[in-house]
Amino acid sequence: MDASAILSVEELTVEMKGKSGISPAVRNATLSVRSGAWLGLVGESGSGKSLLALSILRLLPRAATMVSGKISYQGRDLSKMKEAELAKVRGREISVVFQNALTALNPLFTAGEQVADVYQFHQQASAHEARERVVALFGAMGLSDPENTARMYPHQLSGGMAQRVMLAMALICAPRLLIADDPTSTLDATIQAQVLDVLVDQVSRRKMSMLLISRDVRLVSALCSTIAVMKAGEIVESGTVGEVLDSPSHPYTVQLIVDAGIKERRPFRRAQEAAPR
Amino acid sequence: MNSSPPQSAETPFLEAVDVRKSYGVHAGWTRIASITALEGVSVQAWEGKTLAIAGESGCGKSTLGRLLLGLVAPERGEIRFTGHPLGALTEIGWRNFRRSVQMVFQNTLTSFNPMLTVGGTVADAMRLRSDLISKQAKMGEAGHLLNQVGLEASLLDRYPSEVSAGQLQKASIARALATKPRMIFLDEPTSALDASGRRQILDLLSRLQSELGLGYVLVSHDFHAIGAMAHHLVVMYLGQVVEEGPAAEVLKQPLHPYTRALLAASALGSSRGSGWRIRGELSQLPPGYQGCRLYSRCPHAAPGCRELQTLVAVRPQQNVRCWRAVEIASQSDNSERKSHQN
Repeated sequence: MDASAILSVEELTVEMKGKSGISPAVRNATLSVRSGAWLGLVGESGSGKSLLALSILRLLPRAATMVSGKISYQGRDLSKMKEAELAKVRGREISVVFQNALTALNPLFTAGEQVADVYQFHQQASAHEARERVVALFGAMGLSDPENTARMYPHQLSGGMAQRVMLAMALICAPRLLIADDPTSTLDATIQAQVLDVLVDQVSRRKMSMLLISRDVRLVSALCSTIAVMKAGEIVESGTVGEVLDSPSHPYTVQLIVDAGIKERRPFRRAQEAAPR
Repeated sequence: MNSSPPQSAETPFLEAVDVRKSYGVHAGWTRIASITALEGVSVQAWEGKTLAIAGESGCGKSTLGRLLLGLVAPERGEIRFTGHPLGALTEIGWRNFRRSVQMVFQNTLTSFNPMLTVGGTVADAMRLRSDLISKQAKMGEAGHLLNQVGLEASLLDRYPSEVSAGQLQKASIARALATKPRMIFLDEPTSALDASGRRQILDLLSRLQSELGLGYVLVSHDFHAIGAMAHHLVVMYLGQVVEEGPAAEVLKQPLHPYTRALLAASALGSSRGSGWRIRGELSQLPPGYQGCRLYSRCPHAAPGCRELQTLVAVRPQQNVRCWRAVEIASQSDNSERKSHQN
């Protein structure tokens, strides 16, 4: 096992119960995220990449069961942890951001309340302190009127605002690892770029590690240092972005690169300041 | 079959002339506000060519599509089919229009009738044709059309839920071809597919265009698809055309700040994916406001931007609705070059 890994998943197998019986959705998957590094997990819809991510924090849907495997986070096996112990890890040490922020938020509470709740749970802070924290973090997320946004209910938020709120919820307890499951794929292109600016800024400033799950090979190649390719429940290839994309060994990886039309790779570039008027 | 009326080389096949459309916001029976979805938009589509309309949600591209297809009427301006205003078409003229202009939608699973087989759906579209009467003849033709789009005729008897999304999108192209159209309206034809399906559809559409001389109106935010197919590109923002021109030119040297932001955002991780951004989110404009609609979001906004902005030819055939377009483009090209050197 890699000693510098903050998270390692070994020989993970997840089974799905369906109409036609039990079928494996993730088979013998092994990957590790090194401390401070970004790993991109790519694959088409249905390849099992989201199930793999969900099983890390034991958030699998009822129809899915983790059958075998080991999930170590800083030397501790998450899959054997008691539920109460794991609750302390979720949100505080490992956070998740899902694809569709608007459905992930609770419609009955304001954005501010939901984020403050997470902070109060983990840090035993006062309501007032939590509130101040939330507003400050909303500002750092690039929300233009943080005070007002905190008072809004999810249906009043646009997709881009909701995803920033989710990101704030994931980051408020300063976790060490962020699992981001296709966080920007439902957003318009220009909004996607804005949200990615914030994500990259915040995660790199806090020197966090990230597991980024995406269908967009190009995006992963621009953001991550290592990449794992998943197909039909199996990880078919993994390595540094340079190794995998410049000399892919699995035919499926070759196909993904051709289909994405990647001819050259450039690192992600954050927003530039406007030229002086 | 020669069903299209005679037309000169100067008449576009399908054309929107200075159209305006707004929607009412209602509280009960009372109209409390109106939202302008399109304001003074003119576009032209030609046979054998692809007109691409790009923009994000809320830019009015779907409304423009509904107008071009004659599904709703504009409040001002008109839609012309081979030079004739749609409003003045006779019933026979309308039939000809419906036959000649077909459509392919984004989500195939919702645009196919789940109770009909794929063959049944394709054959049903042939009601507009007078040369095929018997069910057998229609099914035969449907099988032929499936072959034409690269599917096996055995798919005829399958139901939509039994075929893959990529196959169904090909079948929906076959359905559009069933009336022998001259133009097909494509509403985000690739966005519901993954990368391999997307490439197959683009290849198929290009092949059909060169074989049949079809015209396309492609509504999309996928610049990969636009780059591969479009001849002419129109970029829309909040109901207005902000930039238009030959697709290759606009993609190579976008001039409007919005086009630049859109292109940069769509190409993250490639050399085009610069750090050019617009701020904030789409918001409605105060009534009576005539100035640049991007004003509050543009990193280069200046007081003069609040004046009336018109589409101005900056290069031959390339029109831009921004009075500082050239200045901003050269400024930021310089700073890009510097940051590349660093």
